[in-house]
Amino acid sequence: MTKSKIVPLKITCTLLDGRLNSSDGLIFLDAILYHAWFKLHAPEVYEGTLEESRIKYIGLPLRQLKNNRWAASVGFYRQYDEKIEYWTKKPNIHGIDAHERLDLEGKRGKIDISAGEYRAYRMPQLIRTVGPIEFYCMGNPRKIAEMLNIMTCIGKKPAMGWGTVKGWTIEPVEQDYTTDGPYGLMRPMPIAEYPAGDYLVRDCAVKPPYWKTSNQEICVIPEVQINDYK
Amino acid sequence: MKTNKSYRVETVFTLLSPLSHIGESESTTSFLNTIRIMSQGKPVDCFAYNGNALRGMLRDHGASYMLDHLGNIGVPKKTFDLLFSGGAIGGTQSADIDQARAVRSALPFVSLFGGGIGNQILEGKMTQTFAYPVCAETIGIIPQGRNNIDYTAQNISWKKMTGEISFSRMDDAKHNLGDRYIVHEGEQLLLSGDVKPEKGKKEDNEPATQMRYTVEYMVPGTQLFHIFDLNCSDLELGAFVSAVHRWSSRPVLGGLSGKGFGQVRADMDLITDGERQKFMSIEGNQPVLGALAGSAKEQYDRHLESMYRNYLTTNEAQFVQLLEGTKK
Repeated sequence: MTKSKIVPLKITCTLLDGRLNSSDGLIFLDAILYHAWFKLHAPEVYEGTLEESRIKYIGLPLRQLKNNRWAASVGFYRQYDEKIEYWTKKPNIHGIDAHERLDLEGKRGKIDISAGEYRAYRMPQLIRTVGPIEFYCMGNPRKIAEMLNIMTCIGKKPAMGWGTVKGWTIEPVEQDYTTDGPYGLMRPMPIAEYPAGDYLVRDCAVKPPYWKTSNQEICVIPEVQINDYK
Repeated sequence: MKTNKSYRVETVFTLLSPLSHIGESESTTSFLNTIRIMSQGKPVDCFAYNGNALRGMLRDHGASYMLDHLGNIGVPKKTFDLLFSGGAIGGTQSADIDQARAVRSALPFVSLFGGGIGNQILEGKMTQTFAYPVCAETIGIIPQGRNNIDYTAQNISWKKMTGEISFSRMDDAKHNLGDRYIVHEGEQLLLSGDVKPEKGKKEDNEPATQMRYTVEYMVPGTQLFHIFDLNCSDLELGAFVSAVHRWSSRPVLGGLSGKGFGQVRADMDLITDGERQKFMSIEGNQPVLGALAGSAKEQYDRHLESMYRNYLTTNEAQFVQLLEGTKK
């Protein structure tokens, strides 16, 4: 068997309806592959039935950089619109199901749906209407394709219907665009490693999982929107 | 060991009566829910049925089905909230591996839909799209070549598939029914009630509380396309089938079902390992299960029966404790 080759790649994600649920607009390719790795090799971690600390090594098909970082850019896209949509949680506690199923165990009183444990929710979500999302990386195209094939959605709240993926395409490019590329800075970089210039500077993780505060440091943040849409 | 498989369930809903699914309201007029989508490279507004509304509807029916098959039991409010609304966590999120294992293995329904138990969030195993109308704006979203989709609708904008209807609420107290049946001063009361209006209640000479309101709707015959992606075990697929099966006894979407809105026919295909097969179809309260849906539901029914015999009849408290996330 031939040894897999790491080559410069451009990966394009097309969303089914173009709607992406993301408050800061940053979509990380290594985070998507990280999620895919767990889905393939340790789904029990996401199911809560296996401790993450039991996983000793996570091997993504990307060039590994120092401090366990990966050679992958964030997603760049044309954004056509930005809109607040809502998800709601209806407490059935006052509905017909409660009449039939709720056992108050001999107690009586009011169940408050305006506050506390049984409150109703109407949560705003920032939904971006975007064109195809471009990522750049140094990686193994065959293994990346296998992993992306199982990723049917990206962004927040896919269980509610946002971020469904229509398809992925992978194509070779001439050089490594994971730090500097066609859109300038291509991924958040620690401020000690990249000149801030006009870029935004704020706390951001530099490796997956991106929600983990221990992975965060002060970074220079790329401008992910491609601004030639009229 | 349970193994997860990937299933895609594609549903075509055909409206048999008007559909109301409101987004914004202005005065007494309610408008359809619209979202902004990419249509052939351009952003356009389009009606869409919210995915979370579909999931919430199936969650209610799945929970109801499960409790029926566990001896038609009632449950305390915390458990009720978990089963029907997804629950809530009571403090800082934490992980309890043993509890997660116990819940996922005993209750495929909770494992599939997810929820907050104790201080732990159990992630569900479904993702989905919104349900989009088959129309000019959704060319590119609706897949080609399905024999249950009427593609001629793609020549028409969704805006041509809408209508408005007004309803009125008549205050019968102000008409001859009120004159005839409301008790007057000096008349004998047969049923308990107040002869004199209480403070703050309506007097005879107050204006009638009548109103007229308008709703925008999608016209009957419109088709909606929806996708569920499940990554789950066979038993969890059975829990999904059970929810759809229970919904099929009253197959409606959206609001105003009491006024005859929202009746639908549903054709569901299942795609697994690249193979497409008939999953379920629902027309007129009659679900017809495909081979895989039928066997998954049978397996789930057997699981619930075994839960009922081996667990609930002997130790109901332990079952409730499991769902409430109480520490052992």
